[in-house]
Amino acid sequence: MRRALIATMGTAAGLVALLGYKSSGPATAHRVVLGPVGTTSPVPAQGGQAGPATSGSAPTAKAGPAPTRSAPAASAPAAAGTSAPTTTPARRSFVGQLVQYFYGDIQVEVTMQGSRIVSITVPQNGAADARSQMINSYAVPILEQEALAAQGLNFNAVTGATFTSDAFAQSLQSALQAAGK
Amino acid sequence: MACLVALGAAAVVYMWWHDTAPADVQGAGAWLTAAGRVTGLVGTYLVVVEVLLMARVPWLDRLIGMDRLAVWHRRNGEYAISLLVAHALLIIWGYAVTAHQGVVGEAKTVVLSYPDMLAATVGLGLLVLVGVLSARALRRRVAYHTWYFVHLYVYIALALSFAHQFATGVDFATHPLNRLLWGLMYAVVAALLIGYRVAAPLAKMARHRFVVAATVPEGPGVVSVYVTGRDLGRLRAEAGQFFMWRFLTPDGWWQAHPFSLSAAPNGNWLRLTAKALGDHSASLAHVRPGTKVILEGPYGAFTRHRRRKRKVLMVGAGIGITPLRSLMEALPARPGDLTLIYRASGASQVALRAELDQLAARRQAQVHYLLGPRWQHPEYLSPGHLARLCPDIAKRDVFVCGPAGFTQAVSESLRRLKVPARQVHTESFEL
Repeated sequence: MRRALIATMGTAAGLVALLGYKSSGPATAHRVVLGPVGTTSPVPAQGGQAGPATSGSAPTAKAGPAPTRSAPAASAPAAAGTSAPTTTPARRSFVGQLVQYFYGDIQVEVTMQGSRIVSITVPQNGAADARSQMINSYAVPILEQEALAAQGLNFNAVTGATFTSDAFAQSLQSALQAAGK
Repeated sequence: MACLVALGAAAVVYMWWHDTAPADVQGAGAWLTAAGRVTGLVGTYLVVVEVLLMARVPWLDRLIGMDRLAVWHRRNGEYAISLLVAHALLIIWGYAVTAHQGVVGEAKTVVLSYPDMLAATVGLGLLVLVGVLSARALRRRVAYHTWYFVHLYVYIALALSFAHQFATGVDFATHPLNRLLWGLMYAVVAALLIGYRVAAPLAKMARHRFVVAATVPEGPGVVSVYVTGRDLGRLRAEAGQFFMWRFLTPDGWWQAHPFSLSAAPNGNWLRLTAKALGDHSASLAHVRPGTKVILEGPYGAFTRHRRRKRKVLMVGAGIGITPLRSLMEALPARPGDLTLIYRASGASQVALRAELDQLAARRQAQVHYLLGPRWQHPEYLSPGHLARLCPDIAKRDVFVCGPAGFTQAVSESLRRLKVPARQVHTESFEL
């Protein structure tokens, strides 16, 4: 009985020490890791539509094959609207590259108004399995909000969704590059 | 060996450490999940060690001895299964916290919809069943063959739980090198197990053709079995060693039991002497001459190679006399070098007495019989009494064999008599 107690306490103490030491590693909050987006980074096509990247690569997530479907055309409601003041720049959408990572694939779309990001959405959010789907359904809305609030890439990864966060950031980066931001 | 096992565990933890970023352990859910991962990795590693301990690898036997291996096997098994239960609970709890779900709902999701998880869950259930049935409290009430067959479930459990590690384990899914090393660990242990527990005994049977020559009653409840075969000298068995004996009778062929050689191997026959302790030992009396036998072994380091001094004291109890009887016959000694102390609860419980007296006369050895129930003679194994029976005890090698409680009591007395530990050699026969 005493031996069992010692084993239990010892194991628990060892685990706490191990995890504590690990979690207090160099970076307390994981910043999303970004690699070079690739030589053929997306260029805004006519109408403000981002062209898909062809060979993006990053150390943590591999860029997938170029998405074949055409990105949604810019939703520019202000273009012809008379109600919109003429000083307001038009809204333009940019679609980032489709990033494939271990647990799925993800593609980010940003809508810009001038140099401001007004919306970030994820038109493509595939998950490899049920757990990844559950994690993404929880993590992606947070990522969208955080990136919008940060107006760019300067946001933290979502705990427990490191891979998704990295892939999200990579796709976002390519979209922002396309937007010239 | 304990160091080697610990080193392996450290390597497993290092693998997790290397694959995990500090960001992966932020927040309660991530902590629980990470703890679940570590316990899962180490627990699985220890279950594989558990199989290795029972693979009857000759060098492990020489290094540690089967009796101590069995004790390790029991303790390590309890610990490994506890870790794996913790693994399952921590992972589910951690996932539930991360996904903001209830624990029960999350458990259902994990078990039913993640790849290979249903099989792994069944595997864990089997392991827990084996653990519970082997727990000391229950072990005595479970019939040997139930316990034995349930132990085979461990192999099923290992097979069932293997796939989920590679399908869902972060350390394996994304790391081919880890996958390779982990698979290699399983493969090596499986090869040792099959080689030493299946192939080697079958090869030995084909070569030596062991067969029962005779069974001889030695007294109330005690029986000797003589086994002959071809080329027995090439077995290289030694006095003090034991074999796992598998008698190929219609109802007993599936079980192998450890029995010491009760006579020094002589090239013509091997002999075991057993007391009716369990169902199996009792049925030995009915084994017919001509029955084929599969022998695993020889095992055990309780031999003349342990000897460091010229003079030897042997202390035995009950049926634990058998390896000492062999040693008494085979140890090189001059007159007066050998002394035997034999503890038994009554004169009728002394096995092989005629042989022991004969040997004592031939080799001019001293024999002391300590007879009577324990409550009447609590002083029998005391340091003072042992020193009176054998005054130069500290200058002798002491071979001790008997039930665990007995070997413990004698070892304690020897320690008090300042017999150096390297001169004390014990074997306890509770495998």
